[in-house]
Amino acid sequence: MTTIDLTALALDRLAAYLKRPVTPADLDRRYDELGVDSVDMVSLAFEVEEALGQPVSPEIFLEFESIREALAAIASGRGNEIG
Amino acid sequence: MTLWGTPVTLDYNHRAVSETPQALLDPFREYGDVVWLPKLNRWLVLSQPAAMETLRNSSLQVLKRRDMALRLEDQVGLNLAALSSVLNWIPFSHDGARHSDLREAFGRLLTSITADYLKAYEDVSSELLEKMRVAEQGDFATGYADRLHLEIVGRFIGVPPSERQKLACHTALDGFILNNASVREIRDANTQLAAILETVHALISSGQSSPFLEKVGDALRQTGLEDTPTSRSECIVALIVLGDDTQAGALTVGLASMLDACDGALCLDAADNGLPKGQSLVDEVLRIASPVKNSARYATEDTMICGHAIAKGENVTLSFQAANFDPKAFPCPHMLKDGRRGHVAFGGARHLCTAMPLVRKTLAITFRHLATIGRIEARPGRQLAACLTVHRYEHLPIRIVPEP
Repeated sequence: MTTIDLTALALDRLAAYLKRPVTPADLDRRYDELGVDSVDMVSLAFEVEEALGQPVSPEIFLEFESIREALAAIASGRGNEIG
Repeated sequence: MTLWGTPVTLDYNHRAVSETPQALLDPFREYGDVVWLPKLNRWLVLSQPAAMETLRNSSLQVLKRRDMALRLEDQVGLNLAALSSVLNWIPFSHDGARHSDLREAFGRLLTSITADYLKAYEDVSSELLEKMRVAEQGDFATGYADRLHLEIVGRFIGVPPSERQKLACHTALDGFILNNASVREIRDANTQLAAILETVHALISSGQSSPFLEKVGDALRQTGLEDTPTSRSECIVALIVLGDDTQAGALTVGLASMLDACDGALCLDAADNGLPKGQSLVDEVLRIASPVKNSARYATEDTMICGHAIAKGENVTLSFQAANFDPKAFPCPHMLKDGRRGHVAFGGARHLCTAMPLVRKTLAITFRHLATIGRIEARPGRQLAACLTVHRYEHLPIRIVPEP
């Protein structure tokens, strides 16, 4: 799955978690600005894991300042290096 | 974010800190008692005084883990019913009225079972150590520490000996507490808890009675909580979860620290072994073991910890491992020494562990028994559990050399 596919998945799921529209620009915002918390990160890691068919640690999101950076790292194969 | 004019540039990695806590936590102390971790977007409480302030601060509340589990269930479409039902009985997952009820119920229960528990502990401890003494070796983690609590609760509720290990929940704890766990770990924890709940519920529903089950029912009713087979089952499983790993952690890390202090060969009955004696030894072992590694809080309003302003909504991680190794409160913190006071291994204030008196007595029993079996020597193969929540060894091989 490419970064673009993961981006579409993240936009869809974050909109559901946050119960409001989420734009591509939101993926560059800091987590606290975006309004997501640890439960959202755990959920998103699971959705990405299911889509990729390989383990993704929620801690990958703590390694980066924004969801876009974390998704790029996951797409490049770093998703299960942590933990 | 800066503190005292110095930017905190160190990275905090949960798993790395979990593996080598003191080496990685000490550098943070240069920044103060409480430091802001930008990447984790949370405060880290490091010193013993700051830990006490945090525990006493009613504006800093525990994470509502059951609510988190229910949200996760909703977001990813998983069934986490067993997990959320047991979390409903875990005191440190609640504040307010539910927390008060749980404290009262567990307080009543532990008071009523203390004598029976200690008697059973004496018996099980003797039996397990006798096997190691005869074999002149064993794994203190898997052959003793991991088994005590399960054996005792298993006997109390009538689980056949061959099935008591089914009550173990070691592998599930991070997932259960939702401590930086993946959904896979949380799902596994739910599966494991569902199996334990089913075992306990089946025994209770079969109509089999025991003094222990009656005491559980009494504690629930006297607290004003519903007394049903389901509530008894959930309460008992919570008791199993709360005692299993923490007791194993105190025992295994405790013995390992005593062995290290005695260069790998321990004679607990020797007056000149250099270790503290009596209750001092118990409390020092608990301080060094810090079986519960950390605890999370969030600010319900603007507040302060040791002069640091914590804004409403901000998260705080209280590291018990850091506070109990605070060199200002405990000089030479790696050493077991007489006369220290003020460790926070049991938490504190409204979240002080209800089982504290019982745990201290059980450790004293273990040390008394260990003192009678001979010289204990460390063997290679010691292995820490890869658990973010509880500090314990999953393997601690020892040799037992009979004393002449």
